Amino acid sequence: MPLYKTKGIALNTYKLGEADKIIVLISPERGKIRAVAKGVRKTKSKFGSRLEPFTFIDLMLYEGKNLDIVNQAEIIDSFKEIRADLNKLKYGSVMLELADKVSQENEDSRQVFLLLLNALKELKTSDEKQALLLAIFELKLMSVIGFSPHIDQCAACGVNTKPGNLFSIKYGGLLCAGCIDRDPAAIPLSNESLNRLPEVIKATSHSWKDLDISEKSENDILKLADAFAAYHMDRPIKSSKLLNI
Amino acid sequence: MYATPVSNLIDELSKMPGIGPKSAQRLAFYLLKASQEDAQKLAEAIVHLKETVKFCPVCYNVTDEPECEFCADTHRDDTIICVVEEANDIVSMEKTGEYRGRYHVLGGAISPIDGIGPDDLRIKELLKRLEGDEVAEIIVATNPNIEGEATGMYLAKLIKPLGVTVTRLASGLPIGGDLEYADEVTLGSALKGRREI
Repeated sequence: MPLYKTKGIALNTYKLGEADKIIVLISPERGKIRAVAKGVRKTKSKFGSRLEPFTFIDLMLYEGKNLDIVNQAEIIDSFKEIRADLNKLKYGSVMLELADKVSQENEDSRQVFLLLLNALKELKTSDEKQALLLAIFELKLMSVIGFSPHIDQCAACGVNTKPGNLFSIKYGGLLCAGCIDRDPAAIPLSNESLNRLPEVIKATSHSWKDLDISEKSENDILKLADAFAAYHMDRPIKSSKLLNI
Repeated sequence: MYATPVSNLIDELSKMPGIGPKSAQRLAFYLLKASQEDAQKLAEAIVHLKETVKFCPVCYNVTDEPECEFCADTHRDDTIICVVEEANDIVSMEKTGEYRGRYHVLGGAISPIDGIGPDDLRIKELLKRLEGDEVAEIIVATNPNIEGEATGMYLAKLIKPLGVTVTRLASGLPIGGDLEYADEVTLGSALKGRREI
């Protein structure tokens, strides 16, 4: 069995058999990796906490037919600050779930990987504006997989360059006055949310903290981003239901 | 391929965890060769289990009595409740011989990624047990993984304002292990939880 090395972020784990786990990871070059960690549930396992979700790891794996097998793992960043804070953990879980859903096995996932890594690094040190950070992550992730929200022209007719304040999830952007009837489920945005939306979409890991935005708008945009992501994922995002606990 | 009673048994056995079609086949043929008495005993044990075992109405441990042995025992300390994920964790705690308080079985742990929230666990039932002034301490003995930690943090947020002390099992180095192989999170937490000797 050939051995290979990669870096990865653990996204999720599933129990397997008596003491093993399947670890789902995202790596830059190989995309999603599903690998078996043998004996990891035993207290004396050599892996210890190295394969817990959120951990950024340097890995050596055996390539298997179906599932790979983890041979060695070293922590690069455990992101323990996220795991030790219930709020950060809730927002971070949504990020992991989405990264898991959009990534594919054996597919270059550099963009998704870097987006997730940067978002986790920001989340680790941010004690406020976590909802905004998640919204930015969701909108950027959707852009990476080809679903940028249309905000410069009407998302339905594509002609009118002055769309109003209704955001249609179905058409993927703002609607103009003439197209309002085409999606009755479109979400109305407050003036503040509408004005901030372009900045939120363009925010970078350096600039996002400086965005001047009210908590209400932050949560409104997150709701929008969440619905937008769930629509394109074709299923609801399980972890975002638990953001209010 | 097989006679109907044999294939029925194989189908039923292969529903069990860790039993694939091949193992189910082997077990079915073992039972076919076993004495009438042994087969009867197994069948009766399964039926008896399903008929008599239920959840303890106080702590949700599994029991065949009106209350489980730990809730019925009058010599146990009523001021401490140890919160565990599953009933078999009680056995692990009991084996230590160090604990003489009560238990509460949550039936799982909070896992945002799997969509399992507080409402899916027996947390309301735990809060109900705290209504009197008797309980002074809750020991969170959930697994030391991300779900267990999340559950612990959630319980602390909920219960601390009620004036009850919430403690967490220490995590650190396993006895008999080598420091060299400890990962930095475990070793860090062992360092934080160090004690004077």
